[in-house]
Amino acid sequence: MSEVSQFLMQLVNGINAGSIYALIALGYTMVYGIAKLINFAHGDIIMVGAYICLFAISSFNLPIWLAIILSIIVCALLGIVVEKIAYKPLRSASRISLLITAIGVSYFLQSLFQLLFSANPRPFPTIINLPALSIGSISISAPYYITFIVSVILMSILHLFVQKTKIGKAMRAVSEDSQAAQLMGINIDKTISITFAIGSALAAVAGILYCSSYPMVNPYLGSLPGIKAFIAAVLGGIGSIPGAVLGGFILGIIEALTKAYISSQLSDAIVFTVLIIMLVFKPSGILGKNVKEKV
Amino acid sequence: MKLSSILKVGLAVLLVASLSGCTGNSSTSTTNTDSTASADGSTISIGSLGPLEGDYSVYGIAVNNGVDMAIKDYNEANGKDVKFVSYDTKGDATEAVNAYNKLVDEDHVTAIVGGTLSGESTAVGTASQASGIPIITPSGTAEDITLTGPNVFRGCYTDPYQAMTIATFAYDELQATTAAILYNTSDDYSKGLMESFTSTFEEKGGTVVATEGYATGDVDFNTQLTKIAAEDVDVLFVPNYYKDDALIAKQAKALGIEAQIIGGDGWDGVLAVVEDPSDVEGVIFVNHYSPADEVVGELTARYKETYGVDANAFAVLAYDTTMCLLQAIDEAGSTDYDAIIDKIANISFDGVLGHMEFDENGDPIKDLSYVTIKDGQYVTYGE
Repeated sequence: MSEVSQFLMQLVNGINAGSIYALIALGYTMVYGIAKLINFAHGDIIMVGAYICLFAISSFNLPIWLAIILSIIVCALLGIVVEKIAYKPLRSASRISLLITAIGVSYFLQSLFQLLFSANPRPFPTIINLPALSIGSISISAPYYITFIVSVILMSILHLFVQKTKIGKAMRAVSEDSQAAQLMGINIDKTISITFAIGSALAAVAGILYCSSYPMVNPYLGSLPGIKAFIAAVLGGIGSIPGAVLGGFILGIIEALTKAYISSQLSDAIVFTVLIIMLVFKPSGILGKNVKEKV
Repeated sequence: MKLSSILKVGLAVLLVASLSGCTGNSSTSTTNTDSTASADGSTISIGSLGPLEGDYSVYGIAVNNGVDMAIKDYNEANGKDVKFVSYDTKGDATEAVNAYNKLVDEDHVTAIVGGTLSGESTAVGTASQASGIPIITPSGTAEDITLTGPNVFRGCYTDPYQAMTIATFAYDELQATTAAILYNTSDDYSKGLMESFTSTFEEKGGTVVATEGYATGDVDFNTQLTKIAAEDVDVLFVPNYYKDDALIAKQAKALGIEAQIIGGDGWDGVLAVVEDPSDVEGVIFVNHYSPADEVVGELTARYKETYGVDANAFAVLAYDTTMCLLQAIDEAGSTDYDAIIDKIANISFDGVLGHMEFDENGDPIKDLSYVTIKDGQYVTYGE
């Protein structure tokens, strides 16, 4: 393999991994943008989505499309329930209490699923039966390019939804000033519920695609991609929908090129150093807005 | 790290020594303890130690059952009445030393099979230096265990031994001259195998052209495998646990890597976590025994009938190790500790897991099984 095609191959590897980060980061950034909450349980909702899809297919023999829809609906409901039970009572509390509650929810979901289904990994069924895509000497298997396409499409839809629809407008209003929004007749509870439902539905999609690329399900599968996606969201500018996707791709590419050309044994250390340096120079992230407090 | 663990063990021993009068309730006897059994009479009794409850109980119970079954088989075959005493360690080094004291001081056992885990085995090995009782751990893999004293032996192979064997196999049997390694940088098992494999393979004359790492929790190995694919090596050594192994094998196959994938005993169980067994087809790894082995098959079937659970490697190792110990006691013809230790050290034992002898440290020199995956089944390599 020539140097050039080797480089292109690694670039593709980076974009593949980045697509997953992008898809997960969308959910993070969505919830943060509206509710100003870093939902650390997001990664675990991905895990729940994967388990539901797995059981729907392997235990109940549902068709794949129905399993996917079921998984999305259950996760959306789970998102709403988690918000109502764990986050809503703390809405006026300090930011740090919310953050710690989110970590608590994350551990709760992990432990619950470990109790229910044990920590043993289970194989995830093949649900994407498409041929690999070949470009020159590079071949990309189906789950990867599907993830790429889905993350770009969902990003566009979400962006349009928030910018153009009435609910989207309400979301932006709540995000800017929730008290003023309430005075204008916007139902804050409903708006935040919808935000969590959408964020968690995205997590379900991410979970299913994640397990299609890496077909193994266990109760902890969401924690590492959750953290990586959180970093991607911050890198792209947390709260910005296109930023999350951009951040995901950039993180994936930096990771792949570090592993390929510097050292795979030190890759995490190097990747995070690069990210820290980038954030020192642009703390609001690549596409983040530099909001100035008016005094 | 090492010093502090030695200190801990030392403290544990001191603590136990000072409390030895009142440890009565901390362990529970589970089987037919004969209080009249004594080391100086003709009665032989074997003690066993392991976690019978808690997180690691699956291992401790397996060892306990394995020893129990070996003693019953031995008694039946030889018309003898060897007693079995076993105590729970809860996987804790201090509990293990308590249990050890009870075995030696109250039950006067002839020899001990245990502990089950590495940590408790090292603690018991250190504590046993005062009495010098013969001890064999059937399953503790940490190198330090047998270094605690000349009375401490081991029935399973150590990690460095395993990696050495795989490297020799790759060079001699598979005639590989170039190798690549993909290992978990944050896991001691994986890292240890990587280091021993590299040194043995290079000593033999081979070259390790790529050593790639990843972190615990990683699921995407495409970047590392793309680099390895470009090197065009003969073998790819993957010294990890089955969960990572399954994903690595799948991604390597998708990238068209043709190198023979080889691995250690961490691969055992990989078929349970793959959706499509053809992803791991042709992989070769070493294990304590071959799944196709008829003798072991007969044993595991009988084990399941008796104890109601599937036998794992721990149970089979415990059975084999106990049989080896009983042969040594037989040969010694007495219950004198030193006589038995001398016989174990010079034993030539043929058991269900093949031939076994011990080196000067008390580690086994034994056959390993090469297992390969063919048509979605574990089979012995070369058959």
